[in-house]
Amino acid sequence: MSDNVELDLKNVEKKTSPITWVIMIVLPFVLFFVSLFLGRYMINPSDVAKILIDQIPGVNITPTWETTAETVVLRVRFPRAVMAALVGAGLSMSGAAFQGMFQNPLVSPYVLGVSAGASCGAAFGLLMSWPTWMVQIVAFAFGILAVAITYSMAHLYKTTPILMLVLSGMVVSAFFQAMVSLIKFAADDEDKLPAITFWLMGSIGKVGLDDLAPSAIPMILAMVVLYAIRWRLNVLSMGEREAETLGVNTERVKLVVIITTTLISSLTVSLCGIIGWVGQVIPHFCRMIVGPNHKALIPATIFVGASYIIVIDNLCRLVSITEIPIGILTSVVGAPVFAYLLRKTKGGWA
Amino acid sequence: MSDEIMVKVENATFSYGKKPVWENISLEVKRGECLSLLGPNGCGKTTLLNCISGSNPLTSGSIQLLGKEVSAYDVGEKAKRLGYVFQEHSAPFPYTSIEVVRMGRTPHLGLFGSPDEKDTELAYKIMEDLGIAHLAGESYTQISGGERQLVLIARTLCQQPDILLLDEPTSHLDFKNQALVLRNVKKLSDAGMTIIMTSHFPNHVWHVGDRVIMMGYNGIIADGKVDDVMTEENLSKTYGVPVRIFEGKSGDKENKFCDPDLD
Repeated sequence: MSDNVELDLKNVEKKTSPITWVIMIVLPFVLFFVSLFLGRYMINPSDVAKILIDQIPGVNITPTWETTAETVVLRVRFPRAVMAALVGAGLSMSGAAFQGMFQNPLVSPYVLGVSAGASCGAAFGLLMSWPTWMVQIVAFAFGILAVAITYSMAHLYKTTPILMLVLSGMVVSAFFQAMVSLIKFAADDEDKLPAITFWLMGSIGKVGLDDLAPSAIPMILAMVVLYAIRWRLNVLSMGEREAETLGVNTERVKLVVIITTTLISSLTVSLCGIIGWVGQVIPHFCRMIVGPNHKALIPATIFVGASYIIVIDNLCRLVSITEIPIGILTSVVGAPVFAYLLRKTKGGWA
Repeated sequence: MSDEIMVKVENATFSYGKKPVWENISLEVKRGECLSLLGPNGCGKTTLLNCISGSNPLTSGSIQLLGKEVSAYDVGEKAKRLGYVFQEHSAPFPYTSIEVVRMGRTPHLGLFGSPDEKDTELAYKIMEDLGIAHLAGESYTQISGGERQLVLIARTLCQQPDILLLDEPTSHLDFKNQALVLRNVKKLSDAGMTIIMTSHFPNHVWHVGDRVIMMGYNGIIADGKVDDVMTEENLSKTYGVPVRIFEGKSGDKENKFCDPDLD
């Protein structure tokens, strides 16, 4: 039997060649490094490498670079590139998890109202002219609040049916979007209205070195949890009733997925504004490469998503003299790419 | 067949809203038995399976699996005891068939676990036994309905349950696929699996199963050995239409079959 099994087990899963994986994994690191020296203030790549190595405790390199270069690399570009990678990986992963859980390829991480809620919180904070850190905290809290409302609205008897979640998410999103409009309407159009509008369009440039740790750590933790339960997503994607007969406590798994994705997307929106389409496009694209099995899909979305947002954010910085809001670019790129993927996959899954 | 009671339903009543679907049903299924449930549309065959599986809570009465109340089971523990193949099933993701079969290992894995090589070998072995090993690498969404039904049966067997519930395993299937599924159900039953299945095809009962329960709109009409219970009278009463039983012979093979009387 064993010979036979080994022969056939090679066909068990859609195999992605090791080279594809190596490219997928290495690419975000290369792009990360590139984004540290690219910019209007060009820095020699070897200097960037030396600056980075110099940071390792115990290593001391005699500086061959200007102090400005060090500041630009470490305080501006490094946190920005880290954030871009995290945002890309986080949103893509959340999108893949939600699409599996909702059994629907059109679902985005924002489906439960997190972006509308966070936008509302941010708009309110900006209207009150609060300092940035407070705006971020309020936005984050409102994102969580919106999803909490969605979840409790969808809660029927001891369950939260998927359809109820989607519908409640629509209701909650609509309400918070109306609130955003109301705040915009009330805002002074010289100063605050543009601030709100630009904030909502999104930018990763606001993230400084000091913001990095408090936002990156919870995001990474949520991603680790999502990564750990990735095989269960396969079972959940067969439908809740089947998952239950297979011994999955669907309510618990759903709650874990909702909490982790909400943490990721609420942090993203509160720090960087609304970055759309990433959570739809990247999982779709990754399914084309590695197949639908979440065991491979989730890792793929991490690397491809990170690469994608690093590239997009670099475009935002470099294409014109004034920075382009990232939300515009992800939609301009995302919508046509998604249209292409839909055509190519004929509306299917891979 | 042993005397161990696998499923025990006592005075069970289930109702959606106020109107009971059925009332005071009692039955016992012993280890190794293969029980077919017959009955007209809407008499509550599937509802009964759902109650036995614990997904529909009873209005009154009790259902025990291996001596333990079904509602007292934890989801994972129950999945090790009881496997359930649904009738309707949607499959949006094109997983490979063996990946689907391997999902049957879920109750044996931890929350963060995923199937290892042993699980894969078991899944493959079960597929081999069901004669569908060649489908292992095929996309689950692109195989025929009968093959998909067998993949789902294989997935359920991968749970290594003591009791197998099948809800109309042959519905929507053509002759070849019906034969494929029935042959395997028979094989499983012969191997000692406890099976409860619903069917819309009384003829299949003569092929598979040692016991049959006929349900009407007011509960159980007949319950017993296939040869004792499968009579024109019982069938006519069950379906509310005259049914004739024919005995036929073709070559060296003798068979019984029934048909509604249209005159």
